[in-house]
Amino acid sequence: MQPPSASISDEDLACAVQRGEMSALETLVGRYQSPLLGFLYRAVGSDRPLAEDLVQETFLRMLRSIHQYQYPRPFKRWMYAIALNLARDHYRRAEGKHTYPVVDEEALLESSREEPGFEPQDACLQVEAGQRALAVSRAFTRLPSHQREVILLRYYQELSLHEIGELLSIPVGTVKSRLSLGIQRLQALLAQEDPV
Amino acid sequence: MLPPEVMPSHEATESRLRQDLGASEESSRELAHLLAAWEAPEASQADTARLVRRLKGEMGQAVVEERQDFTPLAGWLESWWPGMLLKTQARVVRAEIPWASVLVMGLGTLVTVAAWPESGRQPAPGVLPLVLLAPVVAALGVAFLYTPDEDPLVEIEVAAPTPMPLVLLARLALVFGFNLALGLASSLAAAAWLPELSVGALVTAWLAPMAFLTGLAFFLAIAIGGPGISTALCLVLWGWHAARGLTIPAPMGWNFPVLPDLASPAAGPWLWAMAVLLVGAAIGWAGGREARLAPWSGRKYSHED
Repeated sequence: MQPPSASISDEDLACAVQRGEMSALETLVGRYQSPLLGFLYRAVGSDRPLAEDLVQETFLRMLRSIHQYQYPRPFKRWMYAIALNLARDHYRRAEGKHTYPVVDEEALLESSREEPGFEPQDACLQVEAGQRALAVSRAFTRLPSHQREVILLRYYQELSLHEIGELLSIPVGTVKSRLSLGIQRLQALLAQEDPV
Repeated sequence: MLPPEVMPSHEATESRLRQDLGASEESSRELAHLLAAWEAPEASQADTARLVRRLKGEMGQAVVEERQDFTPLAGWLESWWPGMLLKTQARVVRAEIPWASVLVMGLGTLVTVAAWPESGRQPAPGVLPLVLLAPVVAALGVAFLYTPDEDPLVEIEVAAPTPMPLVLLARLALVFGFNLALGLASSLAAAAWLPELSVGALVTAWLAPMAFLTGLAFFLAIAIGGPGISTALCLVLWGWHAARGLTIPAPMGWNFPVLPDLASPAAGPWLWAMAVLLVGAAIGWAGGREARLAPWSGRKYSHED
Protein backbone atom coordinates (compact mmCIF):
# COMPACT_ATOMS: atom_id res chain seq x y z
CA MET A 1 0.00 0.00 0.00
CA GLN A 2 1.29 3.47 -0.85
CA PRO A 3 1.92 5.71 2.16
CA PRO A 4 -0.57 8.59 2.28
CA SER A 5 0.96 11.72 0.83
CA ALA A 6 1.22 15.03 2.61
CA SER A 7 -1.62 16.39 0.50
CA ILE A 8 -4.21 14.12 2.10
CA SER A 9 -6.23 15.95 4.71
CA ASP A 10 -6.37 14.87 8.33
CA GLU A 11 -10.08 14.17 7.90
CA ASP A 12 -9.45 11.79 4.99
CA LEU A 13 -6.75 10.08 7.01
CA ALA A 14 -9.18 9.66 9.91
CA CYS A 15 -11.61 7.94 7.53
CA ALA A 16 -8.77 5.69 6.37
CA VAL A 17 -8.02 4.83 10.01
CA GLN A 18 -11.70 3.91 10.40
CA ARG A 19 -11.16 1.45 7.55
CA GLY A 20 -8.13 0.04 9.33
CA GLU A 21 -5.32 1.53 7.23
CA MET A 22 -2.23 1.47 9.42
CA SER A 23 -0.27 3.81 7.12
CA ALA A 24 -2.91 6.50 7.67
CA LEU A 25 -2.50 6.16 11.42
CA GLU A 26 1.27 6.45 11.06
CA THR A 27 0.84 9.64 9.04
CA LEU A 28 -1.45 11.11 11.69
CA VAL A 29 1.06 10.21 14.38
CA GLY A 30 3.76 11.91 12.33
CA ARG A 31 1.64 15.03 12.01
CA TYR A 32 0.36 15.29 15.55
CA GLN A 33 2.86 13.72 17.92
CA SER A 34 5.21 16.70 18.21
CA PRO A 35 2.51 19.41 18.34
CA LEU A 36 0.63 17.46 21.01
CA LEU A 37 3.83 16.81 22.94
CA GLY A 38 4.54 20.53 22.91
CA PHE A 39 1.00 21.38 23.99
CA LEU A 40 0.85 18.84 26.78
CA TYR A 41 4.41 19.56 27.94
CA ARG A 42 3.47 23.17 28.51
CA ALA A 43 0.02 22.31 29.86
CA VAL A 44 1.44 20.10 32.62
CA GLY A 45 4.31 22.36 33.67
CA SER A 46 7.28 21.17 31.58
CA ASP A 47 7.07 17.54 32.71
CA ARG A 48 8.25 15.65 29.64
CA PRO A 49 7.64 12.03 30.78
CA LEU A 50 4.11 12.94 31.85
CA ALA A 51 3.50 14.81 28.59
CA GLU A 52 4.70 11.77 26.60
CA ASP A 53 2.31 9.52 28.53
CA LEU A 54 -0.55 11.91 27.84
CA VAL A 55 0.31 12.05 24.13
CA GLN A 56 0.12 8.26 23.98
CA GLU A 57 -3.18 8.33 25.87
CA THR A 58 -4.51 10.95 23.45
CA PHE A 59 -3.81 8.70 20.47
CA LEU A 60 -5.22 5.64 22.25
CA ARG A 61 -8.41 7.47 23.12
CA MET A 62 -8.72 8.73 19.54
CA LEU A 63 -8.29 5.23 18.21
CA ARG A 64 -10.76 3.67 20.65
CA SER A 65 -13.47 6.10 19.58
CA ILE A 66 -12.45 6.50 15.93
CA HIS A 67 -15.81 5.07 14.83
CA GLN A 68 -17.48 8.01 16.51
CA TYR A 69 -15.64 10.44 14.25
CA GLN A 70 -17.86 11.71 11.46
CA TYR A 71 -16.42 13.17 8.28
CA PRO A 72 -15.87 16.11 7.66
CA ARG A 73 -15.63 17.29 11.28
CA PRO A 74 -12.21 18.93 11.78
CA PHE A 75 -9.91 16.21 13.05
CA LYS A 76 -7.41 18.62 14.56
CA ARG A 77 -10.05 20.06 16.88
CA TRP A 78 -10.99 16.57 18.03
CA MET A 79 -7.39 15.66 18.83
CA TYR A 80 -6.91 18.84 20.81
CA ALA A 81 -10.21 18.27 22.62
CA ILE A 82 -8.94 14.87 23.75
CA ALA A 83 -5.54 16.24 24.76
CA LEU A 84 -7.15 19.14 26.59
CA ASN A 85 -9.42 16.83 28.55
CA LEU A 86 -6.46 14.68 29.55
CA ALA A 87 -4.55 17.75 30.70
CA ARG A 88 -7.60 18.89 32.67
CA ASP A 89 -7.93 15.45 34.26
CA HIS A 90 -4.32 15.75 35.31
CA TYR A 91 -4.98 19.11 36.95
CA ARG A 92 -8.14 17.82 38.59
CA ARG A 93 -6.22 14.92 40.12
CA ALA A 94 -3.46 17.27 41.23
CA GLU A 95 -6.04 19.55 42.86
CA GLY A 96 -7.63 16.56 44.57
CA LYS A 97 -4.30 15.71 46.14
CA HIS A 98 -3.72 19.39 46.97
CA THR A 99 -0.53 19.29 44.94
CA TYR A 100 -0.14 21.50 41.92
CA PRO A 101 1.93 20.80 38.84
CA VAL A 102 5.30 22.40 39.34
CA VAL A 103 7.92 23.27 36.81
CA ASP A 104 10.85 20.86 36.67
CA GLU A 105 13.43 23.63 36.97
CA GLU A 106 16.53 21.43 36.80
CA ALA A 107 15.37 19.67 33.66
CA LEU A 108 14.38 22.92 32.03
CA LEU A 109 17.76 24.58 32.68
CA GLU A 110 19.60 21.40 31.71
CA SER A 111 17.75 21.19 28.42
CA SER A 112 19.00 24.65 27.47
CA ARG A 113 22.58 23.36 27.83
CA GLU A 114 21.87 20.36 25.64
CA GLU A 115 21.02 22.34 22.53
CA PRO A 116 22.89 21.17 19.42
CA GLY A 117 25.96 23.25 18.72
CA PHE A 118 26.31 24.40 22.30
CA GLU A 119 29.55 26.29 22.84
CA PRO A 120 31.00 27.29 26.22
CA GLN A 121 31.10 30.93 25.15
CA ASP A 122 27.35 30.70 24.67
CA ALA A 123 27.00 29.69 28.30
CA CYS A 124 25.79 33.07 29.52
CA LEU A 125 23.23 33.36 26.76
CA GLN A 126 22.09 29.79 27.34
CA VAL A 127 21.71 30.35 31.06
CA GLU A 128 19.78 33.52 30.37
CA ALA A 129 17.50 31.71 27.91
CA GLY A 130 16.99 28.87 30.37
CA GLN A 131 16.08 31.26 33.17
CA ARG A 132 13.70 33.12 30.89
CA ALA A 133 12.03 29.82 29.95
CA LEU A 134 11.77 28.96 33.61
CA ALA A 135 10.21 32.30 34.42
CA VAL A 136 7.65 31.94 31.62
CA SER A 137 6.73 28.39 32.56
CA ARG A 138 6.40 29.29 36.25
CA ALA A 139 4.20 32.24 35.35
CA PHE A 140 2.01 29.94 33.22
CA THR A 141 1.41 27.55 36.09
CA ARG A 142 0.10 30.48 38.12
CA LEU A 143 -2.39 31.55 35.47
CA PRO A 144 -6.03 30.48 35.86
CA SER A 145 -6.45 27.37 33.74
CA HIS A 146 -9.06 28.91 31.42
CA GLN A 147 -6.62 31.66 30.50
CA ARG A 148 -3.64 29.32 30.29
CA GLU A 149 -5.51 27.06 27.87
CA VAL A 150 -6.42 29.78 25.38
CA ILE A 151 -2.91 31.26 25.41
CA LEU A 152 -1.31 27.86 24.82
CA LEU A 153 -3.72 27.02 22.01
CA ARG A 154 -3.41 30.41 20.34
CA TYR A 155 0.25 31.36 20.60
CA TYR A 156 1.96 27.98 20.83
CA GLN A 157 -0.35 25.67 18.89
CA GLU A 158 -1.41 28.40 16.45
CA LEU A 159 -5.10 27.54 16.42
CA SER A 160 -7.45 30.19 15.06
CA LEU A 161 -9.80 32.06 17.40
CA HIS A 162 -12.71 30.22 15.80
CA GLU A 163 -11.07 26.82 16.35
CA ILE A 164 -10.41 27.63 20.00
CA GLY A 165 -14.01 28.80 20.46
CA GLU A 166 -15.32 25.56 18.99
CA LEU A 167 -12.91 23.48 21.00
CA LEU A 168 -13.83 25.09 24.31
CA SER A 169 -17.51 25.64 23.40
CA ILE A 170 -17.25 29.36 24.01
CA PRO A 171 -17.89 32.37 21.74
CA VAL A 172 -14.97 33.96 19.90
CA GLY A 173 -15.49 37.10 21.97
CA THR A 174 -14.88 35.11 25.15
CA VAL A 175 -11.73 33.63 23.61
CA LYS A 176 -10.48 37.14 22.93
CA SER A 177 -11.28 38.40 26.41
CA ARG A 178 -9.56 35.39 27.99
CA LEU A 179 -6.52 36.00 25.80
CA SER A 180 -6.41 39.66 26.68
CA LEU A 181 -6.80 39.13 30.44
CA GLY A 182 -4.49 36.14 30.37
CA ILE A 183 -1.72 38.02 28.62
CA GLN A 184 -2.11 40.96 31.01
CA ARG A 185 -1.88 38.61 33.96
CA LEU A 186 1.07 36.78 32.42
CA GLN A 187 2.93 40.04 31.97
CA ALA A 188 2.23 40.98 35.59
CA LEU A 189 3.44 37.59 36.78
CA LEU A 190 6.57 37.84 34.65
CA ALA A 191 7.27 41.26 36.07
CA GLN A 192 7.05 39.72 39.56
CA GLU A 193 9.33 36.89 38.46
CA ASP A 194 11.83 39.52 37.33
CA PRO A 195 13.30 37.49 34.48
CA VAL A 196 16.85 38.15 33.44
CA MET B 1 16.44 41.14 28.56
CA LEU B 2 17.46 42.34 25.10
CA PRO B 3 15.99 45.63 23.87
CA PRO B 4 13.02 44.94 21.52
CA GLU B 5 14.83 46.27 18.44
CA VAL B 6 17.53 43.57 18.62
CA MET B 7 15.26 40.68 19.63
CA PRO B 8 14.85 37.87 17.10
CA SER B 9 11.58 38.07 15.22
CA HIS B 10 8.74 35.61 15.86
CA GLU B 11 6.60 36.90 13.05
CA ALA B 12 3.57 34.61 13.38
CA THR B 13 3.18 35.12 17.14
CA GLU B 14 3.76 38.85 16.86
CA SER B 15 1.13 39.15 14.18
CA ARG B 16 -1.37 37.19 16.29
CA LEU B 17 -0.67 39.35 19.33
CA ARG B 18 -1.23 42.50 17.29
CA GLN B 19 -4.40 41.08 15.76
CA ASP B 20 -5.90 39.74 19.02
CA LEU B 21 -4.86 42.36 21.52
CA GLY B 22 -4.15 45.41 19.40
CA ALA B 23 -0.65 45.36 20.85
CA SER B 24 1.97 47.77 19.51
CA GLU B 25 4.78 46.43 17.34
CA GLU B 26 7.29 46.87 20.13
CA SER B 27 5.26 45.21 22.87
CA SER B 28 4.16 42.36 20.61
CA ARG B 29 7.79 41.69 19.70
CA GLU B 30 8.81 41.70 23.36
CA LEU B 31 5.95 39.42 24.32
CA ALA B 32 6.53 37.04 21.43
CA HIS B 33 10.19 36.86 22.43
CA LEU B 34 9.24 35.96 25.99
CA LEU B 35 6.74 33.31 24.89
CA ALA B 36 9.27 31.80 22.51
CA ALA B 37 11.74 31.35 25.36
CA TRP B 38 9.67 28.45 26.69
CA GLU B 39 10.61 25.85 24.15
CA ALA B 40 8.96 22.45 24.09
CA PRO B 41 10.59 19.14 23.19
CA GLU B 42 9.97 17.51 19.83
CA ALA B 43 9.23 13.83 19.35
CA SER B 44 12.21 11.90 17.99
CA GLN B 45 11.94 9.16 15.36
CA ALA B 46 12.40 6.61 18.13
CA ASP B 47 9.50 8.18 20.06
CA THR B 48 7.30 7.99 16.96
CA ALA B 49 8.24 4.37 16.27
CA ARG B 50 7.47 3.44 19.89
CA LEU B 51 4.08 5.14 19.77
CA VAL B 52 3.16 3.52 16.46
CA ARG B 53 4.06 0.09 17.87
CA ARG B 54 1.84 0.75 20.89
CA LEU B 55 -1.05 1.83 18.66
CA LYS B 56 -0.82 -1.15 16.32
CA GLY B 57 -2.53 -3.55 18.74
CA GLU B 58 -5.34 -1.11 19.36
CA MET B 59 -5.75 -0.56 15.62
CA GLY B 60 -6.34 -4.29 15.13
CA GLN B 61 -9.32 -4.22 17.50
CA ALA B 62 -10.78 -1.15 15.78
CA VAL B 63 -10.66 -2.93 12.40
CA VAL B 64 -12.32 -6.08 13.74
CA GLU B 65 -15.18 -3.99 15.14
CA GLU B 66 -15.61 -2.20 11.81
CA ARG B 67 -15.76 -5.42 9.77
CA GLN B 68 -18.30 -6.96 12.13
CA ASP B 69 -20.53 -3.96 11.49
CA PHE B 70 -20.69 -4.48 7.73
CA THR B 71 -24.13 -5.98 7.16
CA PRO B 72 -27.01 -5.14 4.77
CA LEU B 73 -28.81 -3.56 7.72
CA ALA B 74 -25.80 -1.31 8.32
CA GLY B 75 -25.86 -0.29 4.65
CA TRP B 76 -29.53 0.67 4.87
CA LEU B 77 -28.94 2.61 8.08
CA GLU B 78 -26.15 4.61 6.41
CA SER B 79 -28.65 6.14 4.00
CA TRP B 80 -30.93 7.49 6.73
CA TRP B 81 -29.45 10.03 9.18
CA PRO B 82 -31.20 8.89 12.39
CA GLY B 83 -30.14 5.39 11.38
CA MET B 84 -26.59 6.59 10.84
CA LEU B 85 -26.62 8.23 14.27
CA LEU B 86 -27.88 5.02 15.88
CA LYS B 87 -25.26 3.02 14.00
CA THR B 88 -22.38 5.23 15.11
CA GLN B 89 -23.58 5.13 18.69
CA ALA B 90 -24.12 1.37 18.57
CA ARG B 91 -20.35 1.10 18.03
CA VAL B 92 -19.72 3.06 21.19
CA VAL B 93 -22.07 1.09 23.45
CA ARG B 94 -20.07 -1.64 25.16
CA ALA B 95 -20.50 -4.93 23.35
CA GLU B 96 -20.74 -6.95 26.56
CA ILE B 97 -23.88 -5.10 27.72
CA PRO B 98 -26.38 -6.70 25.30
CA TRP B 99 -24.84 -10.13 25.80
CA ALA B 100 -25.06 -9.82 29.57
CA SER B 101 -28.68 -8.63 29.24
CA VAL B 102 -29.60 -11.62 27.07
CA LEU B 103 -27.97 -14.00 29.51
CA VAL B 104 -29.63 -12.56 32.61
CA MET B 105 -33.07 -12.27 31.01
CA GLY B 106 -32.78 -15.79 29.60
CA LEU B 107 -31.95 -17.16 33.04
CA GLY B 108 -34.75 -15.08 34.56
CA THR B 109 -37.24 -16.58 32.12
CA LEU B 110 -36.02 -20.11 32.87
CA VAL B 111 -36.27 -19.57 36.63
CA THR B 112 -39.75 -18.05 36.23
CA VAL B 113 -40.91 -21.12 34.32
CA ALA B 114 -39.12 -23.63 36.56
CA ALA B 115 -40.35 -22.09 39.81
CA TRP B 116 -43.98 -21.79 38.69
CA PRO B 117 -46.16 -23.81 41.13
CA GLU B 118 -47.97 -26.67 39.45
CA SER B 119 -50.93 -26.25 41.77
CA GLY B 120 -52.10 -23.97 44.53
CA ARG B 121 -51.94 -20.19 44.74
CA GLN B 122 -50.23 -18.58 41.78
CA PRO B 123 -47.77 -15.74 42.47
CA ALA B 124 -48.64 -12.18 41.43
CA PRO B 125 -46.80 -11.02 38.28
CA GLY B 126 -44.97 -8.35 40.32
CA VAL B 127 -42.86 -10.92 42.20
CA LEU B 128 -41.90 -13.14 39.27
CA PRO B 129 -38.11 -13.27 38.62
CA LEU B 130 -38.64 -12.15 35.03
CA VAL B 131 -40.56 -9.05 36.15
CA LEU B 132 -38.01 -8.24 38.86
CA LEU B 133 -35.06 -8.62 36.48
CA ALA B 134 -36.30 -6.75 33.39
CA PRO B 135 -36.15 -3.20 34.85
CA VAL B 136 -32.83 -3.66 36.60
CA VAL B 137 -31.19 -5.23 33.53
CA ALA B 138 -32.28 -2.25 31.41
CA ALA B 139 -31.14 0.24 34.07
CA LEU B 140 -27.69 -1.32 34.38
CA GLY B 141 -27.29 -1.27 30.60
CA VAL B 142 -28.16 2.42 30.52
CA ALA B 143 -25.88 3.22 33.47
CA PHE B 144 -22.92 1.98 31.40
CA LEU B 145 -23.74 3.84 28.20
CA TYR B 146 -21.80 6.93 29.20
CA THR B 147 -18.51 6.96 31.10
CA PRO B 148 -17.21 10.51 31.49
CA ASP B 149 -13.57 9.47 31.93
CA GLU B 150 -13.38 7.61 28.63
CA ASP B 151 -16.00 9.44 26.64
CA PRO B 152 -16.22 13.10 27.68
CA LEU B 153 -19.17 15.05 26.31
CA VAL B 154 -17.02 17.71 24.70
CA GLU B 155 -15.15 15.07 22.69
CA ILE B 156 -18.43 13.60 21.48
CA GLU B 157 -19.52 17.03 20.34
CA VAL B 158 -16.26 17.84 18.60
CA ALA B 159 -16.10 14.48 16.83
CA ALA B 160 -19.68 14.37 15.55
CA PRO B 161 -21.86 16.95 13.78
CA THR B 162 -24.87 15.97 15.88
CA PRO B 163 -25.77 17.94 19.03
CA MET B 164 -24.50 16.04 22.02
CA PRO B 165 -27.90 15.72 23.81
CA LEU B 166 -29.16 13.99 20.66
CA VAL B 167 -26.18 11.65 20.72
CA LEU B 168 -26.98 10.69 24.31
CA LEU B 169 -30.66 10.23 23.45
CA ALA B 170 -29.67 7.95 20.58
CA ARG B 171 -27.63 5.80 22.95
CA LEU B 172 -30.52 5.71 25.41
CA ALA B 173 -32.93 4.70 22.64
CA LEU B 174 -30.59 1.91 21.55
CA VAL B 175 -30.17 0.37 24.98
CA PHE B 176 -33.76 0.90 26.09
CA GLY B 177 -35.09 -0.40 22.77
CA PHE B 178 -32.92 -3.47 22.98
CA ASN B 179 -34.04 -4.23 26.53
CA LEU B 180 -37.67 -3.56 25.65
CA ALA B 181 -37.44 -6.10 22.84
CA LEU B 182 -35.67 -8.52 25.14
CA GLY B 183 -38.34 -8.10 27.84
CA LEU B 184 -41.12 -8.67 25.32
CA ALA B 185 -39.42 -11.77 23.94
CA SER B 186 -38.89 -13.15 27.45
CA SER B 187 -42.52 -12.45 28.41
CA LEU B 188 -43.79 -14.18 25.25
CA ALA B 189 -41.54 -17.16 25.95
CA ALA B 190 -42.69 -17.41 29.58
CA ALA B 191 -46.36 -17.09 28.57
CA ALA B 192 -45.90 -19.76 25.91
CA TRP B 193 -44.61 -22.18 28.56
CA LEU B 194 -47.16 -21.19 31.20
CA PRO B 195 -50.66 -20.77 29.75
CA GLU B 196 -51.87 -19.44 33.14
CA LEU B 197 -49.70 -16.36 32.64
CA SER B 198 -51.07 -13.44 30.63
CA VAL B 199 -48.53 -11.62 28.44
CA GLY B 200 -50.40 -8.36 29.08
CA ALA B 201 -50.17 -8.71 32.86
CA LEU B 202 -46.48 -9.62 32.66
CA VAL B 203 -45.58 -6.70 30.41
CA THR B 204 -47.66 -4.26 32.48
CA ALA B 205 -45.78 -5.39 35.59
CA TRP B 206 -42.28 -4.60 34.25
CA LEU B 207 -42.73 -1.94 31.55
CA ALA B 208 -43.34 1.19 33.64
CA PRO B 209 -40.75 0.23 36.29
CA MET B 210 -38.29 -0.41 33.47
CA ALA B 211 -38.90 3.07 32.02
CA PHE B 212 -38.54 4.69 35.45
CA LEU B 213 -35.41 2.82 36.46
CA THR B 214 -33.84 3.45 33.05
CA GLY B 215 -34.57 7.18 33.34
CA LEU B 216 -33.08 7.22 36.84
CA ALA B 217 -29.93 5.38 35.72
CA PHE B 218 -29.54 7.72 32.74
CA PHE B 219 -29.92 10.82 34.90
CA LEU B 220 -27.49 9.58 37.53
CA ALA B 221 -24.91 8.44 34.98
CA ILE B 222 -24.86 11.85 33.28
CA ALA B 223 -25.51 14.25 36.14
CA ILE B 224 -23.49 12.52 38.86
CA GLY B 225 -20.97 11.06 36.46
CA GLY B 226 -20.24 7.49 35.60
CA PRO B 227 -21.85 4.11 35.99
CA GLY B 228 -20.70 3.35 39.54
CA ILE B 229 -23.07 5.53 41.56
CA SER B 230 -25.85 5.10 39.03
CA THR B 231 -25.64 1.31 39.23
CA ALA B 232 -25.41 1.27 43.01
CA LEU B 233 -28.41 3.54 43.58
CA CYS B 234 -30.58 1.69 41.07
CA LEU B 235 -29.68 -1.64 42.64
CA VAL B 236 -30.46 -0.38 46.15
CA LEU B 237 -33.80 1.07 45.05
CA TRP B 238 -34.82 -1.97 43.09
CA GLY B 239 -33.51 -4.34 45.75
CA TRP B 240 -35.71 -2.59 48.24
CA HIS B 241 -38.66 -2.89 45.90
CA ALA B 242 -37.96 -6.61 45.36
CA ALA B 243 -37.69 -7.19 49.10
CA ARG B 244 -40.99 -5.36 49.55
CA GLY B 245 -42.70 -7.80 47.21
CA LEU B 246 -41.15 -10.83 48.86
CA THR B 247 -42.15 -11.87 52.34
CA ILE B 248 -38.78 -11.27 53.94
CA PRO B 249 -38.82 -10.20 57.59
CA ALA B 250 -37.59 -6.63 57.78
CA PRO B 251 -34.13 -6.47 59.42
CA MET B 252 -33.68 -4.10 62.35
CA GLY B 253 -37.27 -2.96 62.14
CA TRP B 254 -36.98 -1.57 58.58
CA ASN B 255 -40.32 -1.31 56.92
CA PHE B 256 -39.98 -2.45 53.31
CA PRO B 257 -43.61 -1.67 52.39
CA VAL B 258 -42.90 2.05 52.90
CA LEU B 259 -41.94 2.07 49.22
CA PRO B 260 -44.99 2.09 46.93
CA ASP B 261 -45.56 -1.02 44.83
CA LEU B 262 -43.79 0.01 41.64
CA ALA B 263 -45.13 -2.98 39.72
CA SER B 264 -48.80 -2.16 40.33
CA PRO B 265 -50.77 -0.80 37.35
CA ALA B 266 -51.74 2.25 39.45
CA ALA B 267 -48.08 3.29 39.72
CA GLY B 268 -47.60 3.12 35.94
CA PRO B 269 -48.54 6.71 34.95
CA TRP B 270 -46.43 8.15 37.77
CA LEU B 271 -43.45 6.05 36.80
CA TRP B 272 -43.73 7.08 33.16
CA ALA B 273 -43.98 10.73 34.17
CA MET B 274 -40.92 10.38 36.41
CA ALA B 275 -39.03 8.65 33.60
CA VAL B 276 -39.75 11.49 31.17
CA LEU B 277 -38.75 14.08 33.78
CA LEU B 278 -35.49 12.30 34.60
CA VAL B 279 -34.51 11.90 30.94
CA GLY B 280 -35.40 15.54 30.29
CA ALA B 281 -33.34 16.65 33.29
CA ALA B 282 -30.37 14.57 32.13
CA ILE B 283 -30.54 16.01 28.63
CA GLY B 284 -30.93 19.53 30.00
CA TRP B 285 -27.94 18.98 32.23
CA ALA B 286 -25.87 17.69 29.35
CA GLY B 287 -26.94 20.64 27.17
CA GLY B 288 -25.65 23.25 29.60
CA ARG B 289 -22.39 21.44 29.93
CA GLU B 290 -19.65 24.04 29.52
CA ALA B 291 -19.44 25.28 33.08
CA ARG B 292 -19.51 21.73 34.37
CA LEU B 293 -17.07 20.30 31.86
CA ALA B 294 -14.54 22.86 32.99
CA PRO B 295 -15.63 23.52 36.56
CA TRP B 296 -12.14 24.63 37.49
CA SER B 297 -12.48 27.44 34.96
CA GLY B 298 -15.68 28.66 36.52
CA ARG B 299 -14.23 28.43 40.01
CA LYS B 300 -11.32 30.60 39.12
CA TYR B 301 -13.29 33.30 37.31
CA SER B 302 -12.94 36.62 39.00
CA HIS B 303 -14.61 39.98 38.56
CA GLU B 304 -11.93 40.79 36.01
CA ASP B 305 -13.37 38.20 33.64
